[in-house]
Amino acid sequence: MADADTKTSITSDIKVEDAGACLKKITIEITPEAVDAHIGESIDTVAAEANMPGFRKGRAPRRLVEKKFGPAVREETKNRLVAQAYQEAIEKHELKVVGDPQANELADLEVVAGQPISFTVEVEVMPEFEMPGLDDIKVQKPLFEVDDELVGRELDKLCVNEGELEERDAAEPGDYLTGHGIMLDSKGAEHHNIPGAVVQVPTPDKDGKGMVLGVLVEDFAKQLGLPKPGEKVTIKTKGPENHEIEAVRGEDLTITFEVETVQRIIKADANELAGRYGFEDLDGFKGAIRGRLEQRAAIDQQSAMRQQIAQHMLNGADFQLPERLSAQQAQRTFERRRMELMYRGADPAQIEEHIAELRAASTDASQRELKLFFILNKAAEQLEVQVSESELNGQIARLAIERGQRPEQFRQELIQNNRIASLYQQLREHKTMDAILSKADITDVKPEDYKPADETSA
Amino acid sequence: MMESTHVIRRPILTEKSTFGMNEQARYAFEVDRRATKDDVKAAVERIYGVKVIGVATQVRKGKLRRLRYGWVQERTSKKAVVRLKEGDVIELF
Repeated sequence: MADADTKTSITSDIKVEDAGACLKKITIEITPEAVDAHIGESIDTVAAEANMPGFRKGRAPRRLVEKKFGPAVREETKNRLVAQAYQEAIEKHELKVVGDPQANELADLEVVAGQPISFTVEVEVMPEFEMPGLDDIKVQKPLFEVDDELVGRELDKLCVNEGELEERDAAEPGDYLTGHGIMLDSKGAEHHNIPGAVVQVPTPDKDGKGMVLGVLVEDFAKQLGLPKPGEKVTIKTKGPENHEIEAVRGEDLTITFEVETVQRIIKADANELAGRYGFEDLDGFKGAIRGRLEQRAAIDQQSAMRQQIAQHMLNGADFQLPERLSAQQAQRTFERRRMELMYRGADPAQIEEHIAELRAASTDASQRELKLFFILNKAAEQLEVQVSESELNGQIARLAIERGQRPEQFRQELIQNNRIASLYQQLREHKTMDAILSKADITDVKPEDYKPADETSA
Repeated sequence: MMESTHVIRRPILTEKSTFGMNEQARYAFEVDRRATKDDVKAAVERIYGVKVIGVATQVRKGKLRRLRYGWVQERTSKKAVVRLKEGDVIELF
């Protein structure tokens, strides 16, 4: 029955007009017969279930039910009809819609039995553009080497990660402060109130920059100073233009941070750490680290080549982006970048720092990401790239091991944070770029001769 | 004679009264306790512009109900079922 309903057309007229870059105006008229049928069906459904005083359930006369529930039923019918007609219009004209449709007049639209409904919606669609050539792209393959110095640095990082926290009476650069952070805008509206927030006192190599409640502050070291437990610090900064919370963008922000504890990481001893990881001696441990770094170098090599492919495609395709979607892009850009960094094996603190930097970057970065998304989407369609469930699970397992989590736990985390779609998208893009790479003209280059393409997420 | 608008309190809409309306042209109303059959007949004819050929009344004594805070006496009401001339109809809903 439902299938039969969906196959019957409810529209009598659908007009699609261009209303700007990637913007289409769709005017739809729903037939009076469809309006009658849907209202009748809805009233019958309500009448069968209605509990009215003086009547047994479902025995109230239809007209009485209509009088009592008419407005609500008509409103519900309107929503159903509009959604169905919109879907029909999209399918009929094969529009590739991105983002949500906009219709301002729907609230005032009245559904009257025996009369047609006419309404207009504006939708943003996938941009149409000429794809750049995908064959024989010139790509440099940097031959990254894992030397003893790199192994030493990685070992040092592990010693820090596995180190112990020591409570201090006063902060010094590099120390971690735990406390209560509150973010207010210039009107006094609260955007974050986080007890147990953590900030790091910037180390000298950070040029005084630091991150607090996800916002990168240029003169953080100067504003923060070296507080002691119990002290309250006020940080003033400007909201990043690309922040996910719209009200924060470009606003003068006041962040108060009440320090509860000051802690310093005391590095773990490398020999002891080797034992803890189940190695007989430090050399064995270093060997394992080298293996892991070689794996990561292979990923970096692949990423470097993908970046070149991405740059080639960005240079080769010229088109305008849907405006509204560009504005909403920030959140998705962050998710894409987060996934990419996870894939490259960055640790969580590094990822959040990078995201904070991205928030502070100009909107160009978002637009670039969005453009690349459209190009790769089209390339994926052209090359018929698909991602299977097992590939997705494999990637989840790989990332989970990299992060030292159980795959099921990590999968659950991804689902809770709505990041599984980003991971799927990332896999699809990687597969697309690898498919393009398989046809590329690849030249091996030494790391020192390699010139990276402009920064992209690819 | 009572004022027509004071006589009729409300139409009674139940499964039973709806059946009477549809099948026997009998309409049920809650009427003023003091109204007579003649009052009801005149009031219905005047308000709805129909011809009444019969009126049956019944008084429903308010029940004694126990609430959380004691006993209360429900209001006593009078119901009138009027029969209309064939072809006359009252649009109650």
